[in-house]
Amino acid sequence: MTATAHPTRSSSKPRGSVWASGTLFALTLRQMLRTRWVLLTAAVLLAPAAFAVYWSPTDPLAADELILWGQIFVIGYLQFAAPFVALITGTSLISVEKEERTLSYLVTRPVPRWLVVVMKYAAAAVFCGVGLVLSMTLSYLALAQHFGMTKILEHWNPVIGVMGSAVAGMLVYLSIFLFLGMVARRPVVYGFIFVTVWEFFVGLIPRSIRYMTLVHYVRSLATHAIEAAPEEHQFMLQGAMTDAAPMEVVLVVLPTVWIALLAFSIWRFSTTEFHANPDRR
Amino acid sequence: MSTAIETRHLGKWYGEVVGVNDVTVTLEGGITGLLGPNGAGKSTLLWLLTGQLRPSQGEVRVYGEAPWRNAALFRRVGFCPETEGLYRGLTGREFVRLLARLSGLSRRRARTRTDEVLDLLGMTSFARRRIGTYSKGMRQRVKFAQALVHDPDLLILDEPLAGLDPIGRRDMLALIRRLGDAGKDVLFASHILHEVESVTSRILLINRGRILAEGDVHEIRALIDRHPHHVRVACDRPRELARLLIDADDVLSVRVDPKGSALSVETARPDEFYSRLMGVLAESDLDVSAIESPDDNLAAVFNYLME
Repeated sequence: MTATAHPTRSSSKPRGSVWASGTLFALTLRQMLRTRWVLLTAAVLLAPAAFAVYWSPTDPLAADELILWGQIFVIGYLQFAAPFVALITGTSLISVEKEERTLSYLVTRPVPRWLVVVMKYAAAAVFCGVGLVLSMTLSYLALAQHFGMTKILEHWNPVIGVMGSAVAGMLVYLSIFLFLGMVARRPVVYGFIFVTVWEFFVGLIPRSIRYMTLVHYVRSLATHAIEAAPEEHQFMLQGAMTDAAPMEVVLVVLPTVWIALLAFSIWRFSTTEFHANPDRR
Repeated sequence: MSTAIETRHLGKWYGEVVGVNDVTVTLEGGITGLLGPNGAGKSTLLWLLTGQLRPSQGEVRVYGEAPWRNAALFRRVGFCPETEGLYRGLTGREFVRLLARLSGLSRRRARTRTDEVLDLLGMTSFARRRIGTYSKGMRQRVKFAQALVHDPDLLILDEPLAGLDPIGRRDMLALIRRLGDAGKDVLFASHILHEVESVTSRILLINRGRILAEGDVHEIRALIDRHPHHVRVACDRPRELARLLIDADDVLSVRVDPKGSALSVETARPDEFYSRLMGVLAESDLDVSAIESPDDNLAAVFNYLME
């Protein structure tokens, strides 16, 4: 038997990580654009928009219509659409590869494992973020259609603030569900309980226990964003909060949870043994 | 000069279950067959070599480097898994190109190499079809193509002939031989000795997670030939095939299965039988969907070696 035919070819320098990043990103987007996934995500994203279209008020700023803005944007998007779209997407990112037994192809390539997690997360973030922004824009146009174009543009600022808060919340939820998808056998079930029982119902309880929920900080961020808009444009404030956490606290809590869970996910993926027969694990 | 594969007292357990146990081997290069019955530990050993599993004990080196969490090493290694897992929504070309890009090939190089390897595997005319529509043989070929696309130095192939028809098997074995001739190192797992010995004389015998024998195939062959070899041929007209095979000296018995969809043959001389079987199938118009060799005979040899 002879010695290896390529004794000098070095494997010390990974190359093409940028190309691999784009490929992983595109692969994940393509996986998410499969019919079943898209339909489920679209259903979650379009639910608040459907309400907005249905209830579209003739006088959007009438006193008895103002509550509608809060219901659609705060409850519909911050408490429902953002966490649920993150739940559907985040829990599936790695588990789909496990179920379809395709992880072997990704982990036997010259691509660092952390990059697989980061690019999958990035693709999911873009997928969910674009969906959220489009849906919220549709809702706003439905609710504000009787304003006329000039006022629609004038009142855009608080909407952008709530959109940003929804996207920020979605990013944090996505990192939580990405991690859950790696460590739990039934991540969707646990995620559903987390979103409905903990985030939704506990999040509604006044006093200190709500400070334990993530949605409190997402709603607080939205409140601060609305308050930053000129006073005459703060019509959405009715749906926001009266006991919002201080902005400094929000800016510590949300990024900390986001970075911590993303780091845990990377660590978990990097140290997990993957092979074709998950039953043996 | 570096050794292709080296393990020292390598062990892997899944809880109480032993995957591989105290495996110490050194493979300098060329083609090596890893032979063992199903459940012998072949795949576990390959997953350890490809860094998908972390050793429970001992160490494993591929070109002098530990494969666990060593992404850079996979520039030099191509792995064809046994699993049926594939991105079924992609076309064959998209799948191979995707993995070429993940291997660090530029867009242009990935396109060129993809076309080359698909052509090499006879998949060019199916390259635009979604993998979900592929037959088992086509899926096997496209899996092989992705392992080759980045021109690795070492190919690790887990049951690469599974699901291929006789012509496909012949072509694939010829390709493996050509890769060996071109200087590639190949570790090729199978539970069928006839397949392994047609591409290499060097084999590792593994059973119950232990390497039982390492060396020349002819020594192993002598042991195996003491035991009858069973071959199951699934085809549309097994009785007709039985008539074509039964008179030969190398056939001990034939049996058509109760559903009438397969023929089981017991042979004392597998080499002669396989050669003749390929000739018979090539000359007839029988529609063969599978040729399988249950590893009873290997198991008998393994039991003998373990005693």
